[in-house]
Amino acid sequence: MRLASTRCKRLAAAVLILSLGAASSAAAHDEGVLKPATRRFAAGDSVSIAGEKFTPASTLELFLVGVGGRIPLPGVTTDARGGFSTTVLVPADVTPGAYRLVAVADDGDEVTGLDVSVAESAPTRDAAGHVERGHTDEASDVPLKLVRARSSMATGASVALIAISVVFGLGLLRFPARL
Amino acid sequence: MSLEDTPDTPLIETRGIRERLALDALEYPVPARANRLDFMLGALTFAALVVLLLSGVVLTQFYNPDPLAAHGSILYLITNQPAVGILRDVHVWASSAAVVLVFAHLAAVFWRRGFRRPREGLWWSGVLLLAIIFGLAFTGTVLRADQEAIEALAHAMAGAKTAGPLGAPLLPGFTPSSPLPTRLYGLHVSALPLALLGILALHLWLIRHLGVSATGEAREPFRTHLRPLTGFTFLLVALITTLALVFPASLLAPGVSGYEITKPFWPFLWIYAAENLFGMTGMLVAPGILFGFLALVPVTDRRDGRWATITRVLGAVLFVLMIVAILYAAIAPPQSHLGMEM
Repeated sequence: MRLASTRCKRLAAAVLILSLGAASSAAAHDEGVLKPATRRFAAGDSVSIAGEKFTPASTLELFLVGVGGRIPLPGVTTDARGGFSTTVLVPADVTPGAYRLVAVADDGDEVTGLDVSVAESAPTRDAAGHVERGHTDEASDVPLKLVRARSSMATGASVALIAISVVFGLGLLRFPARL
Repeated sequence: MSLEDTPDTPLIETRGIRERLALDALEYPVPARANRLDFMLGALTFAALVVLLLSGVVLTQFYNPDPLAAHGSILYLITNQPAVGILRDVHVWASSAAVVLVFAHLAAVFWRRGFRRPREGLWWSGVLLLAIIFGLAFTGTVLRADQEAIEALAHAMAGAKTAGPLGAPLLPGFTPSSPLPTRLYGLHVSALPLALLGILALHLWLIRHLGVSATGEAREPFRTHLRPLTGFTFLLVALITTLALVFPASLLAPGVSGYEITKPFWPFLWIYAAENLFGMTGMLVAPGILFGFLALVPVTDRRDGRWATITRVLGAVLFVLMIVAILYAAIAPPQSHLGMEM
């Protein structure tokens, strides 16, 4: 009985120590706030990102985390009040889609993050007729010039479906008495 | 026994299968005239809805209803998922096909006065189905989260404000915990399809028991009617898939609020035309006139009624007006209806 009680105390102490350790680890970074100028990024465009309430004078790495993995953006150093303001270039080869913009401390801990989307910039023409990258914060009624994913299997299956449907459809209409 | 013995030779001869699948239930008589295409438009609408359902189920696995991620998820499936991208194009074209077919079905039934006693309930359930299909088309448009979607949503919210308490569910403050586009996605994939299935079941039940409103004494078993119907369905699938491959559905840039520079999905162009002419009032009154008229048709057009001819003429005028309004709105330059930037 006494032995069991001692074991319980030791176990409780171990749990307490581990908890304190975890808490001290979590408290190693202040939970900052990311404030991008827009949550709709465009591949190949620059975007302004501000941050506040981070650990003062600390280094942060910024990443876009999507289904394809982590895409690194330039890192930042916070000022004495834990804030920063920077402009980063979203790589032009980023696959359009949903991402999470995250700030990671120099010890590898993810400090904060928020959901953003990356769109493919629509090419537009300037007055001189030169093609330039569009900005997603400008309203446009021009359909995006999308590079559609195509595979021979998907297209072939569609064409086969069309052919089979036409053959069966015409066959059923052509020979109604054979049912 | 050969399958080619007589026109009435059953499709499946095996007695056990016929018995176990209750295929004898397909032997009930239908008018021979119902084998014409104009009597199959309703069933073809159903076929288009099945295509929409099947393609939609796949699309839900790739679409992200978060307003900030919605546009990106569509871009992703277009640019990264070949098969799903084609399925999206099929989904968009099937929605157009469903609208065209349901209107053609409506016009055909109206013209042959298929709403007269005892088929009033059949007509009213059809009108409800039409309204639900419009609801599905609208919510589907908004899901794109592009400029057209943002403007459609802005118009819907403006209309909802004008409609008072009835429009409250279409306002962002109705449930602050969930964004309006996400709620519309919920409607698009759950409430509206469920309502559609429920009323469709009623519609089919009434057709089964009241019969098709075709003239002529000649009768054929329903089984023989299934053959040309299946044939037309195959051709419809071929047409939709071809259009999807040749003319893939477009997508605009992510929507920016405060602008009115686009026109709506074509089935709504007649409402857009009414807005051009009468402002926001037109947006509410035009659908009110259409659905009000459709609801009254079985009441005003009776066999012994004086209003029968007037109803028929009014219906024809409304139908032509809708087509003219759609053409006008398609040609006319975009207009601002909400006082936004253009």
